[in-house]
Amino acid sequence: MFDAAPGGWLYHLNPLTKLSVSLAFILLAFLLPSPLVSLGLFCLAILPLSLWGGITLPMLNACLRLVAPAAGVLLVVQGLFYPGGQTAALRAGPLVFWQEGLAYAGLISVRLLIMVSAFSILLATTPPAKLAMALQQAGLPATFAYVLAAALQLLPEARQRALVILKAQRARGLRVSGSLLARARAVLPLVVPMISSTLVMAEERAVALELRAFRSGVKPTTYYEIEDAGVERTVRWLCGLLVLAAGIYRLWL
Amino acid sequence: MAIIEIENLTYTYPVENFPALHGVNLRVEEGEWVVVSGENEAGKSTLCCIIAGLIPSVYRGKLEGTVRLCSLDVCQASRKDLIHRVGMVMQNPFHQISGGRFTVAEEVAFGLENLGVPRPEMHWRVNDMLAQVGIAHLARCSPFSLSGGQQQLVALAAALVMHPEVLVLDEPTSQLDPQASQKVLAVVQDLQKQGLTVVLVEHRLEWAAEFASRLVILEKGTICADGLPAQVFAGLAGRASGVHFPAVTLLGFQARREGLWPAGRPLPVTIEQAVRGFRR
Repeated sequence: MFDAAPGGWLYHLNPLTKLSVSLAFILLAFLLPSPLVSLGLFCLAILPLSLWGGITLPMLNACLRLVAPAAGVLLVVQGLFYPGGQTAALRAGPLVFWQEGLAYAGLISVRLLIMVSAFSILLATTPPAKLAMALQQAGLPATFAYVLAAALQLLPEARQRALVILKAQRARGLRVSGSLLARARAVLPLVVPMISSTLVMAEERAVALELRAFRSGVKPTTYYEIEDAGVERTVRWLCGLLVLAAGIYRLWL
Repeated sequence: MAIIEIENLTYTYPVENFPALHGVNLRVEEGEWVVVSGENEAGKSTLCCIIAGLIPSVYRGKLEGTVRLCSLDVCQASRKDLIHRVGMVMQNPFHQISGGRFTVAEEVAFGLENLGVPRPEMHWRVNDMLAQVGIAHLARCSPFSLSGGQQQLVALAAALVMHPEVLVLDEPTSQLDPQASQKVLAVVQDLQKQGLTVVLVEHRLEWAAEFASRLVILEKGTICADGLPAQVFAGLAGRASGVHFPAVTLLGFQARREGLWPAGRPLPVTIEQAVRGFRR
């Protein structure tokens, strides 16, 4: 099942290891106060990891799309309106960009970069089903694992249902193209059946789950076994220790 | 041996004043294929839910009488006890997908996972069931990417993989095209030949009557006819029962009126029976 996906070496790791490493990167970025340290984390750990997994381009693409606009807005807003601004970094007519504000915006931007890049690596190399199963194998209640997996399936499922409703309403003469007003008029006939069908489906799905022993009280098993090597367990412990050390350092500082 | 025993069953839904089923008595023998038909609101789906144990555990309401499945009182039994005895497939294939699994194989395995079946046994049972139902080639597909007929086969496999003794099918072909409907019914027929007891709710009796060992007609919550399909059709002749007779049976009625089909000869339910009858 999990044999044809990007990520190479990273793909075969236990999702919990990837989740732990990603969370560790993010927590370290928040615990270590200097943006330079966070930037070092990105350049010396996340970037090589993505190169190793062969997913550097999609990761950088995600960062560019998500972090770059946010960083731009942060630099302008924090640079201009930072409350504790004392040192002017740049003057453009009546506008003053404060050095403290720009530094703060830089710190937040680098943290965002770490968050997006770390999760990009996790998501690009981990099928959601594998992550849900690994979490269930690790002891997460089956109900939570189901909710996680169901949430991940929600969008494709809703899209399929919306397409059926769209076709049915078009067959009845509903116009979904044209002027803005015409499009706005088409929203209600699409949304109402979508909501009512979701309610019907929720009831029938609850019955279907009941028929398939969901919450039967038995300890569930999983269809696939997610391998968990000793080295990976050690890596997860190390991640935990590293975060703990950073936390203590932050408190001591 | 009776596998389903229903005695003096009356059931009223929580917000209703009138019972959906009233004074129903039904006894289904092991290995039988019982087809239940009747007009809308006759109580067919309610009967399915009662046999599957969804009433009163999931749908509340007032239930009187006794319902026994494999000698187990359905009203008192736990869900876990019932799962091994009865499986159910509903009308809408899309709504039966668990939504929490990403491939057909995982979807079929979902019930077994919940029962804590060991992994090697689970793999064996899932592969075997996918092959029996004829969808082994779809094992790695997403259940949401399949056609309605294929999704219904997945739902069927998911119910059968639990190895139930009774399979309840509530209009499983109502949303399928003729080819997909025939495929679903052919799979069920194969399993019935191996000893599975089947209760099928179906409006279109064209094929169902052909497979059925018994036909039960419900009318306003009570059983108005019960017997061999040909006997039931003969008894319902000229009555507004909401039952869609097979075309070949209607041909038999007309032939009988025209004197081409002897009055004592059972009405044809299949084309083969009609051909044999006319040849005599």
